[in-house]
Amino acid sequence: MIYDPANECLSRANLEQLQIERLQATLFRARQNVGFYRKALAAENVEIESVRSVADLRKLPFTTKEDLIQNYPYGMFALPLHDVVRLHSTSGTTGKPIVVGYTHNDIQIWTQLVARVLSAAGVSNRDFAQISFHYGQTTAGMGFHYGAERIGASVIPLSGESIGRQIMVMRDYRTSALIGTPSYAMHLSCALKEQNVPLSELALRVGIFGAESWSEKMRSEIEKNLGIKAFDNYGMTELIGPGVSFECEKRNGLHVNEDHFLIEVIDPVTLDPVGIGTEGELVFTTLTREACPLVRYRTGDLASIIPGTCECGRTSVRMSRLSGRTDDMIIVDGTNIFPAQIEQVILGIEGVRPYFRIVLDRLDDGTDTIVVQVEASPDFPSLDRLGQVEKLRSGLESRLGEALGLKLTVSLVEPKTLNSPDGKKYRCIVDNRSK
Amino acid sequence: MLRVRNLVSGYGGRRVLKGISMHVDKGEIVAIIGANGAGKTTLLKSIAGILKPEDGEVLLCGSDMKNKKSDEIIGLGCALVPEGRELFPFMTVRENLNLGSYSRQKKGKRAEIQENFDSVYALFPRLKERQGQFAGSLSGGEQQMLAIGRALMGEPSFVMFDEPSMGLAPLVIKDILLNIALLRERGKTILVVEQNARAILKIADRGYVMESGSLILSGTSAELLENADVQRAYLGKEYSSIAE
Repeated sequence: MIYDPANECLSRANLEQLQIERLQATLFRARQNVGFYRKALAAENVEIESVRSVADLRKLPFTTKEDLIQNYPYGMFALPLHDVVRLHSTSGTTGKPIVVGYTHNDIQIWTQLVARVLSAAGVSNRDFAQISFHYGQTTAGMGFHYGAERIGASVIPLSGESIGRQIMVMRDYRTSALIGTPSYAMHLSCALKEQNVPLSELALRVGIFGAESWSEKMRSEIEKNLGIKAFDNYGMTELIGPGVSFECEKRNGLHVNEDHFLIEVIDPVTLDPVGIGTEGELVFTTLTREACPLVRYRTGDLASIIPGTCECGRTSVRMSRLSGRTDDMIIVDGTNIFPAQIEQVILGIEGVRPYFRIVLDRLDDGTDTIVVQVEASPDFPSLDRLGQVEKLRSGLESRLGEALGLKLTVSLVEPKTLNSPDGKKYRCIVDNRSK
Repeated sequence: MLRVRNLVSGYGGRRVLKGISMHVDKGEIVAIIGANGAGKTTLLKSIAGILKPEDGEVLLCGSDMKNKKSDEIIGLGCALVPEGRELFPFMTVRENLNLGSYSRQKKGKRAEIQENFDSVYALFPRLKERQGQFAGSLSGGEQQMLAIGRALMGEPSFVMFDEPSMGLAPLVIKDILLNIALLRERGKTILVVEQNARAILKIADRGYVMESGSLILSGTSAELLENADVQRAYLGKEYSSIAE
C-alpha cells in the first residue's frame, strides 16, 4: 500500500519543483544559522543564489562524517536548543558520537516517512508489530515505533528483551510483523528451532529489516525459516534515522523519499557524480530537516541508482541495496565499528603492540561474533606466565567491549605475526560472515 | 496552477526578490508570510505582470507569463486584489465592479457580465444593497469586499490577495478570510500574502515564509504553526522564554 500517494506518486515535474523550493530554503537556513556551512560556502566561494536547479547541487561543498564529529555536540544545529525536542546520536567512532537534534516538525515528518516504509511492506492497522531494535540513542527503535503507531499497527516495543520472551510474545500476542536487524531475525529463527516452536503456532507474515547490510541469500534464508516476506530499508541517524529509502512490494530496489532527501551517487575518489546504474558512494542532502540540515552528506555507503520507474506507482528514484562501504567501517549487530576505535584503545595499553586483526563470523543462529587478535609486545616479560597473560587479555577485552559497545573476544598472538617485516600491516579485517 | 522558478525582480535596478521558487496547485490556498519589506508585494506584482521580472520563470497553467501584458495575464484567469484595496472612491459600487470586467466589455458579453454581477452579489449581499453608493463611503470591510468582488468580475481561476486583513477590525478580518475560504470552495485557486500569520494559516493549506527577498521555509500550515522560528517571528510566541 502507498501511505502518502499525493507525495509518493508526484509527477517528476512537480517533484522537481518541490525539491528546488525546499533545497533553496534549506540552503538559506543552513547559511544563515549554521556557522559550519557559512564558512564552507564562503571558503568555496559559492553563492547559494546560484543554485537554480537540483543539478546545481554539484556546485556545493560536501559534508563529511569528520565535519560532524568536529562540530560535536551542537555545532551543526540550525536552531536554538530550546526548539529541539529530542536528541539521538550515532554509536561514535573515536569516543565522540554525532549528535542529531529533532524539532517537533522533524519528528512528525520522520514518523510519516517510516509510515511509508511500513506501508510499502504491507504493514497496516491489522498488524501486531514487534520491534526488536534497541530503544536508545540510535534511531531505529524509536523511528519504527512512531511510524508503526502512525499507521495504526499494534506496536509491541520489545527492544532488547531476552530471546525467550521475544518468542513467547511473538507466539502469544500473535505478532505478524517483525522489525529488527536481519541478523536478529536469523538468531530468532534458530531459537525457534531449538525450542521446537513450529511456524504454524506463529502469525508472523512480514519482516522489515535494516541497520546493516544483508545478502539476498540471507533474505531467502530468513524468509524460509520464519515463513515471512522480508523487506529491506535504508536510513542513517545523521540524516534522520530509518525512513530514507525502502523496498515496495516489487522488491526491486529501494525507493528514496525524494521529497525529503536528494540523492547523488559519486565516485569516492574523484568526487564526480557517476551515471545511473554505476556504483558509487551515496550522498544525501536533506530538504526538510529543521534542526540539523545536511548538505551533500557523504554516507560512505556504496550503491547505485536503478534506472527506470517502478511498477508500484511510486515515482521516486530507486537505489540498489547496499554493496559495501568506502571506509573500513564494519557493522556488527547494528553497531558501527571502525578499526581506528580499536587502535585507539590498544595504543593506551602496555604489553601489546598496535597491530591487530578483526575476525568476524556469523554463527548458524545468525549471531555475529567478533574476535580481535592483538599482537603481544616482544618485551612483555611474562608472556609465559599464564595468569598475567589472561589478566592482560581480559582487561583488553573489557576495555574494547566498553569502547565499541558490544561483546567481543580478544586473543593475544605472538609478536610479529600481524605485521610484515617492512612494517606494513596485514589486512586488519577478516569478514567471514557472507561466506 | 502557478509555478515560479528562480524569480529575480525589483524596482529600477534595486533587487528585491533574489531567486524565488514556489508553486500553487489547483484548488489550494497558499499563504506567504513575512515581515514588512520582505518582498511579498513585489512577488505578487511580478506574478501579475505589473513589475517585469529581471530573471526567472513564471508559469500559469503552463503558459509563460514573463512577456505578457497585464490584460493578457487577466485573460489567462489571473486576478490581483491589491494592498489597500485601490478602489475609485467617487465611483459607485456598481461602477467599481464594472471596471473589473473592463477587458471583456465588448458586444455580446453583456449577458456574461451580468452573470458575474449576480454571482458577486450572491457572495457579498452587502454590495448589492449598496450598489448605488460611492465606494469611498463604505466601511473598511465593505471596501475589501468590493475589491475582492471587482477581482472576481474578470472570472479568474487564480486569485491573489495582498494583505487582505490590512486596517480591518479582528471580526471583519475573520469575515474576509471566511470569504476567501469560500472562494476556494467555488473552485478558485488562491495565493495570499499576509502579515497576520496566525489568521491566514488557519485557512491556508500550505505556506511559505519570506525573509529579505528569499523564501526560507515552506510547509503545510500545521508545520509552519509548529515551527519555532515562525512562532517567534510571526506569532509573537516564546518571547518570555527567550528572555529567560
